[in-house]
Amino acid sequence: MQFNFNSTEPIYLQVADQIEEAIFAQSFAEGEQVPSTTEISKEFHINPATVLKGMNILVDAQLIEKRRGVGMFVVPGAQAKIVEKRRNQFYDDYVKNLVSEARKLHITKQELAQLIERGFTTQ
Amino acid sequence: MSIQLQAITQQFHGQSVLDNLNLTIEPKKIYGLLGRNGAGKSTLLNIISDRLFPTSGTATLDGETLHDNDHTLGRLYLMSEVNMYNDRSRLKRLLNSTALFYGAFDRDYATQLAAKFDLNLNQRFGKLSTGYRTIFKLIVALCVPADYIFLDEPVLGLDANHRELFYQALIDSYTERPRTFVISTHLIEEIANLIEHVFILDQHQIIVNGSVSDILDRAYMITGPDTDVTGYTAGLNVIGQDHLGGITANYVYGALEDDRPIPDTVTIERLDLQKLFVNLTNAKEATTHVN
Amino acid sequence: MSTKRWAVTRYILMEQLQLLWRAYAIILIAFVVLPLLFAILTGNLGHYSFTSTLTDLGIGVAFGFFISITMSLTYDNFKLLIQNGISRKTYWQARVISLIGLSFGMEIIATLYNFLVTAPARGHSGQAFLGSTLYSLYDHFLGSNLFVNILGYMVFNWLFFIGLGLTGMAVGSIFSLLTKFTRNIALIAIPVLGFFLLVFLSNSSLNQHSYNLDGLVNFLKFLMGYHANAQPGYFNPTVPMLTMIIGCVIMGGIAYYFNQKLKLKK
Repeated sequence: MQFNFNSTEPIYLQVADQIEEAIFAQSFAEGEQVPSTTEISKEFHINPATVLKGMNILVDAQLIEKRRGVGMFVVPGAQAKIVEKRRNQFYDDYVKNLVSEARKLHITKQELAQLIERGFTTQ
Repeated sequence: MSIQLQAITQQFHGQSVLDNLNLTIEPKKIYGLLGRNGAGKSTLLNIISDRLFPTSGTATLDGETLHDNDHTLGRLYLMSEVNMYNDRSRLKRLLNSTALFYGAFDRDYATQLAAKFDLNLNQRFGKLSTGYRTIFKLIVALCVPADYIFLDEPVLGLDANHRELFYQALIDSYTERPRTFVISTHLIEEIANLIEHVFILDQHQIIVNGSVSDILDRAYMITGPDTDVTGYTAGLNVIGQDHLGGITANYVYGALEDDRPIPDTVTIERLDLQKLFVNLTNAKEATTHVN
Repeated sequence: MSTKRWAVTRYILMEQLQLLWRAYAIILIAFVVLPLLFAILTGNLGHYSFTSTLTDLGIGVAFGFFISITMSLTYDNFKLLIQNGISRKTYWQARVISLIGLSFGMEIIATLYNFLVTAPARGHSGQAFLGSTLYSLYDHFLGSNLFVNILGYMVFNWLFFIGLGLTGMAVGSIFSLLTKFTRNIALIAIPVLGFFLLVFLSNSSLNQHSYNLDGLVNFLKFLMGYHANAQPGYFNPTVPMLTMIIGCVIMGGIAYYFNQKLKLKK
């Protein structure tokens, strides 16, 4: 996990994002335990309440679950859920910006499509 | 259930240090007490712990006075910059007397922490370097059974490794036994994410008192060309400015105008706690910007 | 007694005992060991009497000095105690309790030493020894029972120690409130003023026409237990005891008043 404290995003959202990212990248596999509030809190000097707030976002989104007396575990199917969510957000998060920047640079629709094509073939 | 300060005023030789200050410190929270040098942070902490008498006003814990009261004073601990221990006393003996007076003391944890910090408890207090004095006082602060722990400059003289150790020990100890910590420090960045609630002391008053996330929710940096930034922030609570060439950054504390269009050229970012603090407490900006 | 008060009392008592044995060790070295060494070095061992040096040790007098000085030490323990959440009131109470207790213990030890070591070594009877002390003014008032008289002597000394200790506390508390500068000024000014007062008093007593001090002298005599035509030895010891108790209350009150004002110095 990596936290960027200069980021403009509130810390508890960053905590949620970072854990989500780790689940997405399968650093925390489904059914596995995620680091405890205290562990994250100690490692990054974040108030335990803040860490908990971030974790609770993921609990509410049913990506992780609390097992009493043990800790937090990645819910089976969590990664698929994240993929689904990110696909839904793809237009807002990436396409809009892409098009807006393209417009500023006077890149036409066809030119943009070609560039996307190129991106797919070279990677 | 809280420490309450009511209408605390402190004057030294006619000079006002604190002026009609009110404050509530709740249980089991980590607070930051921020203020510039000479703002009166230590004076405030000394008043709470009955080491100094306020010119007027009262300090209570759960409704009971903190003045001359073993019962309430025994529920708080102030680790101060001033050395309260006799130079000739050996550390072991100081731990013993702390245990004697507080009635309970986590001696195992104290020994464990001393080993972690490489502190030999057979030494005399006066022989310690500034850093190790701080370390010793921190160990005591983390091991006393008090419900309210005040740390005045807790990392004074500590190197980066020891600071890291301290923050970890603090969180460990807090998770193990949640209680209130009030941390007064100049190293704001190091505690910005650690504290839940912040007090900013300036011009003899508490000018900011709120949860860190709420406060940072209302603190913005608006950057862009001079005229656009000035136009967009007109009428807002601008607490500071930076210029670089034709680019201006206006720091705003308070709500933005939601219905005001944001020019393309302007970016809005959030401020971090340190930047907010610096701008709020800049002498020339004074308190008029705080609402 | 509340646990905190007892804890502080115990702490102060232990600290005093540690200082006390050190003080007596120093006295022993200064008045017994060093003269012995000196006698050995100068070859005058014949003139050195180990028993007489040992028996002449004024345990009580030494304790009087000790208690007035140590009770005046205020600020260091105040700092330690306020750091540990102990109130000023408890600090004062604990000091008074330990003063009363320690004085009691030391008076018993000093009395035992005086009557079981010093007096026999000098070949004095108990009553004769009493006659060589300050208590000789009162040593017949309570009758001829030696034990009753010794008891009176002990109470008298005990009260005296407590008074000395409380005076030390009062002075110490006042001095703890002063800044270093004013304290130094006071340390110089008080002896100087005291000297002038003495000069003034001795002048005025020579000059009895201008100032009539008879009233004062009679009052002082009364406080010491003098009554009409009483011979030394037949003075009433309960009067000075009462005087000392009143003095203790006043000194304790002063100590309390200034103790309550103790605060952290810059």
